Amino acid sequence: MSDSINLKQLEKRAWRATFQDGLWDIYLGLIFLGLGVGWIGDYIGLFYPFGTIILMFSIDIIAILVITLGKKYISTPRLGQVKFGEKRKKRKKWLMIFLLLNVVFSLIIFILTITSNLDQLFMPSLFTPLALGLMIITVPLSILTFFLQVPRLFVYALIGGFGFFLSELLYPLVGEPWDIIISYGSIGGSILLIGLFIFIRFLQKYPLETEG
Amino acid sequence: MILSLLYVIESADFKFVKGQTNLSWGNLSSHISKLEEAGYVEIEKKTKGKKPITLFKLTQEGREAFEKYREDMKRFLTS
Repeated sequence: MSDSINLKQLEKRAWRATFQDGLWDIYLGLIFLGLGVGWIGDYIGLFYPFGTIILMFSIDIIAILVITLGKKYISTPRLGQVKFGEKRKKRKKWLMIFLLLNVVFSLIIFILTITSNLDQLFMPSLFTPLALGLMIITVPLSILTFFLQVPRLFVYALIGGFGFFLSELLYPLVGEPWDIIISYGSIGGSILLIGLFIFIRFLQKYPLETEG
Repeated sequence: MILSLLYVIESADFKFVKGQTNLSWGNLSSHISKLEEAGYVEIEKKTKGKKPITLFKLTQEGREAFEKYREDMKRFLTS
């Protein structure tokens, strides 16, 4: 029994080693930052009325490039290459299916929001942004955390989900679009800083070296 | 340690195995050679782009030998 547990721990340790580069943290930090900072686009008249979407989309593209190119050119040369077994491959397949369903679901929520139909489904006031945040961010990210088995991502899922709620609290004080810029800007910025710290620590721990 | 690691993953390169086992290059190279001679580890040389990669994986014989070792240890510890 203890022997099988040790093998599980060994496999989990090997799996988690591939997440110690901080790139997932940087990726999520940028995504949340884009959610907030993107709203500056329309505010400053950048490609009005598409400024917000263009800016958010651009930041999302940067996030994707950071994680994919970072893994390929920075992490893997330092950490080495590894292929995990069938169990992990199955989890990856389910993860892809889940992410696809999440994109569809988020799109439906987004359309309902911009057509102002969502308010009719929920109670007014602060419950709606809280529910939105939990549905669109916390729940999907928590499921992602479950698949990836990286516990700190769960913390990001929780604080990310609170962003809409926080922006609703800030709205009477700072108005639009500063409410969401501040809420998601600070959430994204904090996660990004954590990611950068982990990344720098990773670079120090795993310098580039040649074999033999 | 090397066999345990290779048992729980499909394959890995030198660098990853070294990182997980904390062995030196020399030690790891020596152990891997012995395991390969015994037929427990298979070495696969590939190229990714122009870069050569050496991947290690357990052979079927290696897996069976490791499982037998585990069972023997379990029996020994519980007797």
